[in-house]
Amino acid sequence: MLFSDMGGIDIEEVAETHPDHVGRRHFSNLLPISDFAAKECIASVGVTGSRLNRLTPILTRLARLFVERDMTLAEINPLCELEDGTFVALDAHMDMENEARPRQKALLHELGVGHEETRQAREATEFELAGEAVDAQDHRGVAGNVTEFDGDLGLVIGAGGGSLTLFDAVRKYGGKPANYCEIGGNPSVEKACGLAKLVLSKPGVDKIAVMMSIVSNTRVDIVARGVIKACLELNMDPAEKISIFRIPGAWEEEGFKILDHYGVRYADRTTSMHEAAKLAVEAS
Amino acid sequence: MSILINEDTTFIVQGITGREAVNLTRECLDYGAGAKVVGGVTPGRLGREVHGVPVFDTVKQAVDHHGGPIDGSVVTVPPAFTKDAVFEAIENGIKLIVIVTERIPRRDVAQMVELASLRGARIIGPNCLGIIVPDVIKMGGIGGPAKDAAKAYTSGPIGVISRSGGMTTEMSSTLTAAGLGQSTAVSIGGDAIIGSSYAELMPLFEADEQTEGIVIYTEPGGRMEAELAKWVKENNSRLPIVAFMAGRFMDEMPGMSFGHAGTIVEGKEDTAAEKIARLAEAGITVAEEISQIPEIMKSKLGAPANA
Repeated sequence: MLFSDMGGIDIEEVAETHPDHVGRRHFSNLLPISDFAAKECIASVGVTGSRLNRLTPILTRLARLFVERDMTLAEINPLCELEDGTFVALDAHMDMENEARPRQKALLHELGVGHEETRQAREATEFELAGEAVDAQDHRGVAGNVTEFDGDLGLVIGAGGGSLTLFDAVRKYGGKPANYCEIGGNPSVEKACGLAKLVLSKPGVDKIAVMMSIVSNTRVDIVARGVIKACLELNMDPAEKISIFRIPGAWEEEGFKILDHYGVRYADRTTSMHEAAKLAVEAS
Repeated sequence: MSILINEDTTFIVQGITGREAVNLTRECLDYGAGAKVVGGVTPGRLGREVHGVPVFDTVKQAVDHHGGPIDGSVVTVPPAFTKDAVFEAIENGIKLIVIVTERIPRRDVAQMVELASLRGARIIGPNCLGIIVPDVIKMGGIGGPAKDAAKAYTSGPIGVISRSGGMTTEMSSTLTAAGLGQSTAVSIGGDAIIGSSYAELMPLFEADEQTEGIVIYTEPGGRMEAELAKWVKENNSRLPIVAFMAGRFMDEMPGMSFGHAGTIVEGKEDTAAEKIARLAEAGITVAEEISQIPEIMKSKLGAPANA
């Protein structure tokens, strides 16, 4: 928990410019939240007297709210003192984490927060919503987390860390990604196909690069089947539309056989993720 | 040697009858010397077997059947039940808990980590693939089926710590191809709160004679890299560290989450640029590409101490 007697401005800024005006204290998540922790936190910046005694329960209750309602942030700023010595919250900011939504349904309903209001910084685009629909079509693995960008190079990439690495790598070599996405956890052929079709159909996208870090759970052959199926269903030639397929790992022999059959250029683990990204940029 | 686990480590798998857990059990039994998976727990499934491993209703039954303390547990139960499963493991004397489960609410994770700390237990994860000591043992899905794990991991002097499970294998494979084996590789998990951070694992690697250098995979979000930099500076570590930072593009997109639950730029300290600067201050080299890591590490290992 944090307390500052310099309200009204961003707490990060106060912490940088006036560290002695920010009290910090850890509190237990196992024990019931007790007043003394808040009292210590507030007193540490020099607040005493009746102010301390009036402020303590406010911070305690805010901490309880934070824990019980699965918040990632619960902030009252500014908190104002009236002439009679009482305090009023003039503004507050609360964030609930997505993972806890299922068990906070009643509160969300009461506040009128709908399912579509995520914590992302901007509203989902049509392309991104279509990506969600692809991922939701069955429960096997992930082929989604699609984010739209305005470039022309289509990406079918994975997994979590692999996607972050590959997206950076494409940009490092001058490529302009049309999208970000993640495949992982061994998705079905249908899901891999759906994702590839979505990216291939995006206006301005000519080719896709299919790349992942070494897979151990996701099967290479299943992703290969999915992306080839996507090309064929769109009446496109996989050899022409897939600029590079770089997914080494589990079932790679079977996967590479399928890719060979359709003449798709692929690479194994001896081609680094950055080299694969470079090849993708050069081919686009 | 190794950190956290060795060929004598005994562990159970909680949620063992789930599809992924059945595969994971097979992989651990097959890898290296063969892990000592002494039991599995799925409530209501007492008396079954998974690849010859006996299944129990409770952790207590597994401990009683084993006839003594069990070292570890791999927890694969759904997010709503994970906290209870981890509490059950800790209260039955288990000291090393690998939590594979994704999407566990943070409050539950904070409570699990706090109880573990009170009881002297250690949590790896959540949202991780576990631990591997090349050619000896693996605890969790890390590296996949035994034959795939054997392709990527070899025994040697490098400790690997990674916020991404898949990238643990990618980086270890790159090290292996360059002739640098690994002492132990740990997938620490991608959530905002995890049981063991870089700085918390460093003392173990520091004390391990086999380990001569550390490679880490890192991302935007959180304070773990700042803590590592601080630890390195304060403890005069003997181990050279090479880092790779993914997700640099996220610096331009505050408030958007990519890759893992804990990977989000919410403040200046969360950015890739800020983290790279902090790591560099502590003498940690941040490689531009993964393929450069082995050469950078080799030059650091070849250099005289403290150079």
